[in-house]
Amino acid sequence: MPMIKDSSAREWPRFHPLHPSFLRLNAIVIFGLSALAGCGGGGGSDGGNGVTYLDDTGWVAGEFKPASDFADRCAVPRTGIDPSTNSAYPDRLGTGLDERNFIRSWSNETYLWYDEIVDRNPFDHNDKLEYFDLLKTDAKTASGKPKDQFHFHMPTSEYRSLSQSGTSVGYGVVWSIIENSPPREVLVTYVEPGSPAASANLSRGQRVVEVDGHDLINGSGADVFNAGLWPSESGESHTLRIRELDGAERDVTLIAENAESTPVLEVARVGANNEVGYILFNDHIGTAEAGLKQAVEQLQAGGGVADLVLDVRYNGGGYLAIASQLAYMIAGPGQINGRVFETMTFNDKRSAENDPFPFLDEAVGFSVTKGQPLPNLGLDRVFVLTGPDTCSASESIINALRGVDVEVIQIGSTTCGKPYGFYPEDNCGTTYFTIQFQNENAKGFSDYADGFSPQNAVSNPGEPLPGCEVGDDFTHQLGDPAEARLAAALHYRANPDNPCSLAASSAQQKMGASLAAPSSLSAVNGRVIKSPALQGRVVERRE
Amino acid sequence: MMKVIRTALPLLLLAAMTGCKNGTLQHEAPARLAEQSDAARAELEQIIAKAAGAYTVTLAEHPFADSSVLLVERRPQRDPQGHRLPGRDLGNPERFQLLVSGEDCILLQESTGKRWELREANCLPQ
Repeated sequence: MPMIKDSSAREWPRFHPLHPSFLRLNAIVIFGLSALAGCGGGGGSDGGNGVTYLDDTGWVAGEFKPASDFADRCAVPRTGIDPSTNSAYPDRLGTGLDERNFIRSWSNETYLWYDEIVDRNPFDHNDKLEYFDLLKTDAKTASGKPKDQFHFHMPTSEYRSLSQSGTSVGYGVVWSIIENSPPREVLVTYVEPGSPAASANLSRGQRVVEVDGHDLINGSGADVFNAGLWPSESGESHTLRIRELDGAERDVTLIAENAESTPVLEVARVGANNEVGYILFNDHIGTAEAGLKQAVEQLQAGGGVADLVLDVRYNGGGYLAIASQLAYMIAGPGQINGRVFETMTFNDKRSAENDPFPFLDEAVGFSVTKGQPLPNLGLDRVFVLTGPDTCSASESIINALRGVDVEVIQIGSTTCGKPYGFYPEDNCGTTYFTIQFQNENAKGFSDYADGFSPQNAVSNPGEPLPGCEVGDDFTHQLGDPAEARLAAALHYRANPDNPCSLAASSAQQKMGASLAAPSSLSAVNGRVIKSPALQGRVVERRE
Repeated sequence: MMKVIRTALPLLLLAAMTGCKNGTLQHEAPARLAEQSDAARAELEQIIAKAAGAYTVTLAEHPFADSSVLLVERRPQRDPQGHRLPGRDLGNPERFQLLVSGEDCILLQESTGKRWELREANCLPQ
């Protein structure tokens, strides 16, 4: 991942004139001389309110100047026109210390757990990005994982780039990484209709065994594998050897394009009497508004459905408005009864900004004409199929429905655990993401940092929900009633006295799963890597 | 004089709303691209990026091929753990509409009402 380096990131010898400790000494001396001279000049000035900041002399643990005093004071100011505003970049000449002071003060003002940040002198840290990485809580969740796993930064030029809704360079296939070091396991998760992958007859469960002639399973050449699986330019061509579920192998040559994704990939009626609706919902993008409305209208036709299975196992979130609309379309106005979808709760300095987000009962104009009323199924329970990639806005659907007394029955595995959000902040060419708000449902609940888990989950248990733990089944297509998670949901509703008996057999299979045999693909848990993932792809050695 | 203005103003407004070329009122209609070309694509990417305040824009392989409306939104980004960024997006996509008025092909940014006459595109009514 390309990174903008802080110009002050260089390591200097201890007694080099530019070493931080030497500069600090000089700064103190200069400050003293300036004070004696009564001239008030010296180091950087805010240029507005007469306050002067002299290198590190302004730092006192626990005391913070406003972030706005340091904003846009850059070690290397950008010049020219900022494409995001079509006017000149706001950058002014500053120092690396100004940039570190900015993120220190901004974190103190906005971070949800600002009082859990250990305040470190920004003068002692050369690299703004390394310094930013420290500006978060070190606390752990109940399960022992870091409370804040979502602290992040990226070049503004990457963050402020757009694409046509759901479009990215690729073949139109989503890969699952079951094992990213030898012996590697990379499977087809699903394929977008009309894509190069669909034309090559790729389908769920097929395994990649070679990339451009290199052994993916045991060989070396992670760069070759990553380049072949996630091409970066439209028109790139790569040859993959694919192993079918029956063990047969074939080579396919794929040419990358600007492939579009279909956020609502499958809508069906399942169950003994077709009384259960199934929606495969993969992404909260703009086109999902129309896709979900059509899906619910399709299920409404012919008298509606008795139950709904919402498959969000690969849905990492996106527009919160889409999540709110879907929750409304599941529950309907009677069940919601005027309650809020969720409330964004900020730190105690910003509690005036706490903001209720309603259930949206009409189109917001993303891909349906604004103001059009949305249909609803009027259900008081819903089955959700989940996995570790079920995250953020998808978890909001679960939490918000629980907040209005819709029973949420979870089939699958623990979700990612992200009841948080942020307003990304740009400064000097870097965009920072620090957690700023937590999302509470109508009952005030937001404590699911360890994710939601089926109540019988033994792996990574989080907030327990009724339901059954079931591994991911790559031997059946998504939406096939025989697919293990969907089958477990159907079994659950048909067998209220022993709802997880089918899931238990899947779990047993999972324990002994060896991916060498195709049958073991019926219960696995990998991570889906949707292009363009930034890191964590295929690696040389076991991490 | 006021009578002239009162009479002319609605006509001028109508002309502005419907498009006017060579003295002839042109009716605007939703459109799609009649053919895809590198030049048309480059022109669309350049205008949309500037209008939407983006550093770059990636369009689909065949923009405006099936629909007169095109949504652009933040390019899918993921953190090192593979989580979508941002997972709770409080913003909204930017909508553009392709219109045809006589022989003119027009791109409309719905949020601002700004319009661009495309030089490289060939449009057909949808």
